[in-house]
Amino acid sequence: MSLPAVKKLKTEVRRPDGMQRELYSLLGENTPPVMVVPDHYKGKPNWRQKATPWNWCPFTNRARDDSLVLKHWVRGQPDTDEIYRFAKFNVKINVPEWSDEDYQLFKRDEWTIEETRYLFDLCREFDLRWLVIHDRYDYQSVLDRRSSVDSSVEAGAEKSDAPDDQIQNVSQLRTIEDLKSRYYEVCSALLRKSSYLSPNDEELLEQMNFSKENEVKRKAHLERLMSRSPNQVAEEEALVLECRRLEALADQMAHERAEIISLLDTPAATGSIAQYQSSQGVTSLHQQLLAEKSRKPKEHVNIVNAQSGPAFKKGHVDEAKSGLAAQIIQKRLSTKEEAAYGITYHEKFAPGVYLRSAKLTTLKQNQASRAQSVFNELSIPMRPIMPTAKVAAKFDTLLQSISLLLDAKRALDKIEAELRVSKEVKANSGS
Amino acid sequence: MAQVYGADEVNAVVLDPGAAWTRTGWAGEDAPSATVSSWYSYMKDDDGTISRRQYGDDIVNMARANVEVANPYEDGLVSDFEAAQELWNVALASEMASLEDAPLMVTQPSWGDSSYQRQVMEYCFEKTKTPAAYLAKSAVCSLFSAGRGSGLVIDAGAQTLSITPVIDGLVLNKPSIRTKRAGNYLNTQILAALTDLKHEIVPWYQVSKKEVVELGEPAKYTKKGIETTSSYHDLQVQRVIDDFKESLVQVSGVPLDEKTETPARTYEFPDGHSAEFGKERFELGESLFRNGSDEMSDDSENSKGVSQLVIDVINNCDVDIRANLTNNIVITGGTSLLQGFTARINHDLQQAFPALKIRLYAPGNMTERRNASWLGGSILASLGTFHQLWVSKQEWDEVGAEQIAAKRFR
Ligand SMILES: Nc1ncnc2c1ncn2[C@@H]1O[C@H](COP(=O)(O)OP(=O)(O)O)[C@@H](O)[C@H]1O
Repeated sequence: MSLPAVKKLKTEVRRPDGMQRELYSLLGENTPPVMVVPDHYKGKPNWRQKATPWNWCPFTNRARDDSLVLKHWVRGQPDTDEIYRFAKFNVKINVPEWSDEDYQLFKRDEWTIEETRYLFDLCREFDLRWLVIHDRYDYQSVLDRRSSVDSSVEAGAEKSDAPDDQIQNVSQLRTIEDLKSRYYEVCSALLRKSSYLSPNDEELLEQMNFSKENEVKRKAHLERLMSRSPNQVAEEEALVLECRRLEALADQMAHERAEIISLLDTPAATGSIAQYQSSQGVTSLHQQLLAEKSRKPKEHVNIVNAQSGPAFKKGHVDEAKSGLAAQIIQKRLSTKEEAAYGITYHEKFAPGVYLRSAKLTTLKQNQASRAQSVFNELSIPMRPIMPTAKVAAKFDTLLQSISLLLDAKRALDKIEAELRVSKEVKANSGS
Repeated sequence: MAQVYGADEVNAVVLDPGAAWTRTGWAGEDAPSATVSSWYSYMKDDDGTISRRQYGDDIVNMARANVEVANPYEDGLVSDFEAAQELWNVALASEMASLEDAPLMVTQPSWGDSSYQRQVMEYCFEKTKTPAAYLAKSAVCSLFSAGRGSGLVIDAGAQTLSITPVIDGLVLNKPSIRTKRAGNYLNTQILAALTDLKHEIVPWYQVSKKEVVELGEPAKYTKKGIETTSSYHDLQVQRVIDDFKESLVQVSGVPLDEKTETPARTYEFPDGHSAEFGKERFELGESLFRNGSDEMSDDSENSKGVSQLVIDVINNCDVDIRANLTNNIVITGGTSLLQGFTARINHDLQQAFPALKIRLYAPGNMTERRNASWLGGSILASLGTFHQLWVSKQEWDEVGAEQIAAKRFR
């Protein structure tokens, strides 16, 4: 058995005998290793055209009513006909228009035609953002302004005072629900007016069914929900947590049950397990199984267990022990019998399935390569082709011996080399 | 880039007038290019007319005989338009030449009414050459600077502290509240407390030489003999108090009582004497938060603490948006930089709304906190979709000031 390094030693003439190659290569004139530099340099990219200039150009915006000219940066030559690209975001919600004749359709005592118009103007201005509409709703000031104008124009303003007062009071107290219900009332009246309703309109009409009471109730409920005390909130959170925990527990339970039932070797195990979900069901199943077991011939059970033995899961081992197979095993089989049945004793099982070959000893990195050459010499493959229990055990022993021997050989080589060097030194100094 | 953020730069100029500082700069940048003190100095002629107004920190703080100082703002709004316009001219000095084809965006408190808006717009179109201008509500701008369109803005400035709910970039006026319990109020409280404790406040300008003295020992310093006006002296005293406030005053994390720990800190006054303040530091911070009346409270708004006001505002809003508001609270303004200010608001709101999620947004960066409304204006004025909202000079001339002030600034 010779190592590649030893072979090389012979070819080198100038090296003092016995000096290690690594040490020798550090001595004397050493030409630096030639480094291969790949040519990564790409050179300046050759752009054929010049960079497009950005120009500071005037533009008009179609979303505006006037012709305001502002300037912005445009890449390349400005296109004068181009529509301003942000103008398309100017979208308005469609709030229906109505005429004075239409007003008869939705006339109401609490609302004047002016106030309804005022509401619709606000809806248009604020795109049906009800909170904002309600916030800006100030019909009172409109009335005030008008009456001040009126009184300055004509002296007889007192005539219309009495009915105005009532309306004023109402309009001051309008809630957001009042506004919404009025708006939807008008809209649905307008829709119904037309003789033909498309399915789309029908749907729209359906949506406009605004119930003020429901809305008020909903908000009151929400308000209550928000005014819970910290204790209530904490309690509710705790309850929700507990609920989750119970649910998870129930899930786990069902899962475990299903597992146990599928493990019990009964014909029904592939079917639904619903009937065994309750504790009663499980008890009856247990009894049924016991009855079945006692009916079966003993040898039959024995074979079944011996075959499926190694594949059994951890939880099942106990059960096998209490079974007939275990009794036989406990009777102390001879080694021959054990080998025949393929019975082995384990201190403990590793979970899951594994290949036997995976359990073979692995060598350290530096040893592995040397062991490989030994294997080559012996013409044995690095991994057993058929790792039966016996082969695997033998292989393991072999590996260990090889590694041991390799270690020993290395130690010997080193000592011998040192010895040779010191001998040479001694001989040189002697002469 | 422009595509992603919807930005389209038109080189707009943003002006953010505040009672303490006036900030100006180019839209699209992340900080104002000029921040000018809103105080100015002036001299009175013999016949009482005001002459030679001068602006800028250095000049205003220079000790001179017969020179008065004043501030053109009151309640967060301009009260002296003549002085304010000159101030804005100074603040806009570097942009003024470009305003010929750059639109001008001015921020304003949401309580500025249409006559106020008209006067500001008059400045834009008559004193500058801008082709278009717009007034944006500062609360909305602050919210934008935090990247939000709806939420609750708490702006703690010098003269006012305002609490403003905003929905889709539109201020809800009815529930909005403002109070005088802000920076200047706190300064009065501090001055009163220091006077009670027999600390004489000698501003820096009066000290020519001082000696180091032990804690609690009387000051040993040489006084400079400069004759100044009382308005100048008061401003300088306020500057000492500002310094005291910024370095010492703290808001307790929970409502203050006997058991609260109040670690002491030392403050050295300009004249060299120094003292320890423990409980006082927290008492003063608490004055912004304490409910109940004191000499300042002439109306209900001012008799309530900041947290209580925030709670009131939220409760005055529609139930449907309360969760949205508490989840998007933006805190800005110099006074909110008081130690413990945001933590305290967070604590109080958590107590008041256990069922709602409270999330405060307060930039940790000092400049960002102080400039939030300028920054929001800068963002707004560089949005491509915003350019349809500018009020053009043409529109101003045709439609008329009244109509525009009433209709255009929602
Ligand atoms: N670090 C700080 N701590 C406490 N107060 C501060 C701090 N910095 C600034 N202030 C106060 O903030 C106020 C100025 O805030 P600012 O938001 O600029 O007001 P405005 O918007 O009204 O101009 C002043 O009263 C100033 O004393």
